[in-house]
Amino acid sequence: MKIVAITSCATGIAHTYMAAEAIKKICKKKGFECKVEMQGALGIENMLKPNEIKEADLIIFANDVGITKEERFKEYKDKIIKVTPHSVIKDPSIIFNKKEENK
Amino acid sequence: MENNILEKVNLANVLVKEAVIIDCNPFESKDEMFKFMVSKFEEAKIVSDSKSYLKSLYEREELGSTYMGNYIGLPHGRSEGVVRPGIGFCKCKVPFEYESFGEKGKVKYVFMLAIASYQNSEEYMRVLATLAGYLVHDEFISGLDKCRSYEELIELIKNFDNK
Repeated sequence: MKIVAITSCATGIAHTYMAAEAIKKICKKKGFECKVEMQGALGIENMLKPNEIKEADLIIFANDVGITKEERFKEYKDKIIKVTPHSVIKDPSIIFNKKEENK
Repeated sequence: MENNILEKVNLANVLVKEAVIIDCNPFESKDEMFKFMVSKFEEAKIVSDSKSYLKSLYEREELGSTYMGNYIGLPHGRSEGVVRPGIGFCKCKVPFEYESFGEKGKVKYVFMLAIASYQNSEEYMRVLATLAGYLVHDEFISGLDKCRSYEELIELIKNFDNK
């Protein structure tokens, strides 16, 4: 499974990076391919490429502020899972549980 | 604008020995902990104007929660009262109630950042981002739980810095 994610938080630092790390950690554990774009106070880091977004099985939005360049995802709405940075830091596995709920 | 500066900073270099407190008695509140840690920074000559630095910590608290879950508090402030940037650490014997931006949680480990106003924002954000990344890992948290001294904490951080 291929997973891409975007993390972003109100103050643009700690939660953004912790959420990114939490998502990478759980994907590694499960053996999934994963790339995380961080939209923090330093600008956009590790930006997702159009083909990566297209090929992803799951797109995670872990944000509590708006996502920059959200139009990149408009064709893939059914793949998007929305969580808050806080909840994913607390329990990264929710990104997979949510998927079950949506089915 | 895309920013690709992903290299990590060396946290071991910015940890302030005098402000690493292991086996601390639990605090009554976050306020008490702030005062205590700021006084340690002052003793270590990291902070010259404790009032101004303390004010910057509270100003940051107004922007969002510094309670990070997992028994961790991550307060930080940027101020003219900071002479030399640094990180302090405090481990309490038992967790205390930490309230931040309307959120409440038990905290046992505190990393406090003193950021100098002359530093560019990118530099200190990199420090904060690196530290935040470590805090997600269970091995780092269990390492904090085990560490008994400044030297052991440095070892733990170095192991992660080199990963």
